[in-house]
Amino acid sequence: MSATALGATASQHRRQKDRRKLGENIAGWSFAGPATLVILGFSLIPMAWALALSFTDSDLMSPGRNVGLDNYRALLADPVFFQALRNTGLLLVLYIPSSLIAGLLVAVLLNRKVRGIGFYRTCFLVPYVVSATATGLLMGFVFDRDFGLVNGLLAKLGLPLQGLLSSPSQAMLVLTAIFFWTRFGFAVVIYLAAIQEISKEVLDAAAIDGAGAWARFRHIIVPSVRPMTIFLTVWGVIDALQFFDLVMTTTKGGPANATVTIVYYVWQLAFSFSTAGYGAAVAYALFAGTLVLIVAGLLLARRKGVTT
Amino acid sequence: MRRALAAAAVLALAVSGCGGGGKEPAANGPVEITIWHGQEDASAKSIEKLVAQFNQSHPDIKVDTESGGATADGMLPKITAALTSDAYPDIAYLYGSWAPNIARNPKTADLTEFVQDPAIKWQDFWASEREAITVNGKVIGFPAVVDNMVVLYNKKVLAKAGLKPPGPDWTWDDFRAMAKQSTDAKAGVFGATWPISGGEEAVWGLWPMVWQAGGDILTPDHKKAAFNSPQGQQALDRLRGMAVDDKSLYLDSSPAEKGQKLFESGRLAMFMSGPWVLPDLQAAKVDYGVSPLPGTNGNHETISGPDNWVVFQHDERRVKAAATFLAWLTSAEQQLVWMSDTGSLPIRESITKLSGYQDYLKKYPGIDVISANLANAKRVRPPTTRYPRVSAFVAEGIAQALLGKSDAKTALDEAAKKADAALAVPGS
Repeated sequence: MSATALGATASQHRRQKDRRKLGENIAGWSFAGPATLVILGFSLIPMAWALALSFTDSDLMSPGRNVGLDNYRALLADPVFFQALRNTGLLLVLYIPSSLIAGLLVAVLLNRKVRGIGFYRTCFLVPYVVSATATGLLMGFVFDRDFGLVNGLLAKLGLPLQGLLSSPSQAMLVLTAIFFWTRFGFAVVIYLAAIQEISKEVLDAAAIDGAGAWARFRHIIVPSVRPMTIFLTVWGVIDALQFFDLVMTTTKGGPANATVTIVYYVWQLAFSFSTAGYGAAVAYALFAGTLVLIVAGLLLARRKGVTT
Repeated sequence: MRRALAAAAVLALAVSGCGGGGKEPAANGPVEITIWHGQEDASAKSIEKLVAQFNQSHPDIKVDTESGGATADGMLPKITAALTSDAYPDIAYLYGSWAPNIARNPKTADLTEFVQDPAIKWQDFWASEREAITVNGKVIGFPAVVDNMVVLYNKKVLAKAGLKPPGPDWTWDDFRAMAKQSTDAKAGVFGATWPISGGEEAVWGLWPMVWQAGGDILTPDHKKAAFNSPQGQQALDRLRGMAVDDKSLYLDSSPAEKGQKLFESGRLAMFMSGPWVLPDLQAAKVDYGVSPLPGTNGNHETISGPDNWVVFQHDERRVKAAATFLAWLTSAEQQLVWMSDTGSLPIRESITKLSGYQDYLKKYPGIDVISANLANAKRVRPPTTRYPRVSAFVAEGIAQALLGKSDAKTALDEAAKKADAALAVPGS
């Protein structure tokens, strides 16, 4: 075999390889392309646009002027923004632990062979599936101060009536409860799936070794579902920080801004107050806050030796 | 590979589909225009019926109706998005208070010259409507609907409390006394209601009280709040007394406006609202009466919220077609059909002289009072893009006061401080 022949085969080989690689690239991109375009079109480009918007005084009706960092400076002096932060923070602090604990407990309860278990499982998921508009309107009646079911029940029991949605100090708590009711079904489903993955041998072995129900729960179930706990925490943080729809349909942020959440405030600023530039700045503040919370949470989880 | 090509083709189709809304003008053939009417139920049927009639009698123009995917309440965000993405209609139904914001967009059409045409009889529209569709001297569309605030009362509830219907000279003190007397906490009956959610609905009922007493919302140059004047304090203090001391006001924290449902079910003696609830009240067979607002020193000034058909520019032909259609739609004959279908008020003075007007009055008992009350609608809310922001601050103050968390003066002063800061920011 001469050297030239060898060279020819090598280059031929390379060409073939290149062509195959090109073909693979085209095939790969043709699969990834549509999704990439969707992500670009509906996430990244709007995000970049919102960032640009946050440096202007645009009202979305006319091209705004460049105002530099003025919107971000205004943020620091805006009492409604801080109220929205407090309201959203309260939701976060109450919702995350309660949804994790209740979700896991209910999942354990639902993980047994009882007649009609499918019905019970459905019950917990229904509030998650029902539209927020329907839930909001319904709950507006349940938690009404003067005509609602809750105060009606309290009156029957002879207990003091509550301000509920009409009370600036209780309205956010009521909304948190409604939010919990609509969302924790999701945690139940995720935990239920995870618990069903735990091998029966492990549980049986523990039982033979004398572990009671509590010990099995504490030392087998809880550690086994930890990846799900981390996932649900991250998911819940995002969900709670973006709380909007129920506010819109139950209180519109009232009474006296007691239930204004950050995303509701962003919406108000952009579409009711014609200050879209400022609204975009608030949205970016939320984005930064979310990012910090989640990265901190994941680092914490990783340090504890859990990989997700 | 073939599959990838197909996917790319589908995607290309989808992308080009997203950019829809802009129709290419056909060189010959009818001009096609789109209207986002934002109407529901009976009103939607009525407008679609009228458009079909127009399309038949005007072969050179073809009007397509779309709800715009939004109700009238949600049209501003919808049109804002549509204008940003260049997929806007030729005509949209928009509240009068939004006109200053809308007019800032360069795509808003200028019909100032068009309405000079004597055939349009522009002066025949009520003055407050013409004011609401004109921004800085530029006419941006046609008046669509006009309304005003009245007090609706449930005859049975008042009679049960031993009260007579309000007379023409009644005052706000009468209103308060009647509300107190008709409240029956055990039976779950309230004298009246006030919204305390964060929206404009919580605020606009306060302004007639302030105006009647000689106060105003903002200073004439729109630079400072004026609502925390003694007139404003007196108005809010009266409401606070009703809510906190008399407990005669049902405080409605939901944006779903439960007030109307409570009024229909006999749990409210009096309800401040407008003509748009009459068809519902009739359907619910409520024995209701209508009265102008209570007065201050004989002044029964009310508040109105004129709604507009705003025209947006695509090209000359389409603007002209849109204006031609609106001139037809808002003419007296067509309006009488619309009014009879929906219970709306006359938008032109000449409508009241048509022979069919009497049938309309008979169809909607009480509408005559509301129609006559148009004469009491003298002022509009300040036409500034900052008004919605100011209104939100006032809504917060009203909620604080009515819930007894703050007195009227503190609540309004606090709101005025925030409003002044918002008004001081440069820009329009």
